[in-house]
Amino acid sequence: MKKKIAGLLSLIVLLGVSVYIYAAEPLKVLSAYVKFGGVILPTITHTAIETVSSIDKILNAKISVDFGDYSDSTATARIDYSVDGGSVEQEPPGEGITIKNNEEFFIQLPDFLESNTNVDYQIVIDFRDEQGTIIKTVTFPSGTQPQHAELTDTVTKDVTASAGGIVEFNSGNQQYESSKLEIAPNSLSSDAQIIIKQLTIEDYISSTEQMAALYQVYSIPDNIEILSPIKATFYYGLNPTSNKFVLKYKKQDSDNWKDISISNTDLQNKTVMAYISSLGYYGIFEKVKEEDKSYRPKKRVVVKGRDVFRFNGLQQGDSVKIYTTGGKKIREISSGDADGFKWDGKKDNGDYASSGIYVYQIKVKGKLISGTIAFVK
Amino acid sequence: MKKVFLVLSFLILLVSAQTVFAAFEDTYWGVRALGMGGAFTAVVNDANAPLYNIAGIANCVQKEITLMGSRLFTGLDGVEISANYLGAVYPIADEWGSVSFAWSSLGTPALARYDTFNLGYARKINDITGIDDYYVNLSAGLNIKYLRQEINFDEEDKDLSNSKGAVTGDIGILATFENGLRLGFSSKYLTSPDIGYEEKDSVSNMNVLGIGYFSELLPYVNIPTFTADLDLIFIDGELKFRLGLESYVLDDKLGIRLGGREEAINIGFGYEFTFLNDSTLVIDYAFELPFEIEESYGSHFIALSFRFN
Repeated sequence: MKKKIAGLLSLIVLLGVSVYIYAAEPLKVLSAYVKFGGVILPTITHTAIETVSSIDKILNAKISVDFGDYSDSTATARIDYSVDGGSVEQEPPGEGITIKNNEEFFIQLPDFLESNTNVDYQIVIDFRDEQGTIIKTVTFPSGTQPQHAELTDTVTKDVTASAGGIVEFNSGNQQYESSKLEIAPNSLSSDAQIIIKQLTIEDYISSTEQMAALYQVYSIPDNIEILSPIKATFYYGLNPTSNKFVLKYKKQDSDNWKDISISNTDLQNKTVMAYISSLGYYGIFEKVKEEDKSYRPKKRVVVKGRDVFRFNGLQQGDSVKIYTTGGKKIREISSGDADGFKWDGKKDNGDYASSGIYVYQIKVKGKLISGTIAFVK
Repeated sequence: MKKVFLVLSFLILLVSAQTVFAAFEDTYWGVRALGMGGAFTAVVNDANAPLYNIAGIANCVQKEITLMGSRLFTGLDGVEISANYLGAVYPIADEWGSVSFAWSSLGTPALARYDTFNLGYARKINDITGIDDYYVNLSAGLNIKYLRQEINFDEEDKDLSNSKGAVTGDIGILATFENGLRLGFSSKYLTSPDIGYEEKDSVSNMNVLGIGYFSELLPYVNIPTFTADLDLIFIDGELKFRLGLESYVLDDKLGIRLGGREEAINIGFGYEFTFLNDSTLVIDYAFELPFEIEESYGSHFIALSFRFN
């Protein structure tokens, strides 16, 4: 009897695992399981409103919505806001912008930033049925109390050399830490006004880095010396997609950037912290992964005779190798034309490869980019 | 004896020169077989047999089910290929033979997927051939298989159906000699079915000859429970080979395997847990390191098998 039960249990486990693998979409299975608990309501995440550029006066909200059980509905998003306690406005006007499930999108508020502006805002998502009737509305923050943001591009603080002080710059984002300078007593050579000003992100051309935020830190009078390092925290903003940052410094706008050692990167609060010994320009740069996507073929399934696989942006010296799923190399492409390198489905011997999945490896600028494609007859 | 070799020689002459359908090659099925580099045509004595040589299921003495999962070419960002296998063997009786079911699947999410469903039957044929089983144990089998490919076409190719399927079959013969020699022959995709979308695209007939040797204690070097297999694969007018070695140690509980083919080298091991008298749970792992694909940490395969009466 025990033997039969053990055998039956083992079969059930093995069959269960096989069904799981065959489904090949475990997240969907998990999601279906969770739904047994009841209706999953939409949730708004990654919300914030911040000053992206003080000069262009762009105020930005980055939003993502998990539709929950409303995934079959269409949804629109807007921000209801008021400036300095004024009347409630709406951006964009009307029903708002159409959004998709779990896709990030941005809503920019109009140019109204003065030297110091208070904005109260609420993100509103309306879910509609096929007839366009609103069937569910969710907001961030939920309830009737809006989110408050204090927006500015410059802060000024009088700091006495003997006492030190904290100069705090709130870019408007209420969810993350502010930029600030923590000046210890006797760190400055004399009393001064310390100013933090957020500047427009510069065009900074590099294949590996791009600027995320830019600050100017200066003093009045401008001839003070920093006697011991100041703890500086810089908020790098909502938009970076990388988790790795570099802090750079230059004394004058015309100088070249120099790397500054970062003591801590706080991904939760979206800040980097460093000890600085000079006033000047501080730029936070995100390390950008070499853009693989541009080299990969956009069309991953090619039917023989209808099209070819196109590997874009490659130059003389670069190469593409095609392998079977068994690991055998069947084609090497080391030159192309104006449209880039192409694979037409032929092997090195001129015969067409058989239908199936193939692994490609692109060698570009000494880097290897791999992926899969399917050739079909 | 002459009859056996004549039959095998004749079958080898059936070698096809057509292009085989890469997705349905039996490269990645069965973890024990993979530990031996895929050289398994003359070994075939467990639930991995249906895709290598269906005749082998006639030698299974217990019911068996095996399930395999894998991850190919780890370390390569952008490459997500998995191969899965489910095999089950049900021995009815010596005089009636054994039946089997097997499913194999190779695919990349949102790109393409290739599935094979197999229903097999095999039995010992000494009584039919009149050959004394004291010298050689002969078995033969037939696999009926359904092949299915599913492609996620781009918008401009949406006029093509997403999936295509076809029915075909395999035959297999296995001869195990009293002196340890084993010979296996498997002819796969006998009808060369067409599963093309835009044009005729046949899954070509593929013939594999396996030459194996088994010894309970390999002479001179004293390797216990030793098995070796060399598979010669006639494919696309070319000859390929796979080589595999296996030995069981620790009272035949731990299997250690080594193998390879032109494109990769394999190692593997498996441990058998016996419980409830005759029931056995087997955990197998195999690792394959490709020679030609760059910067890959290799492919990993793991299987759970259960044998019972």
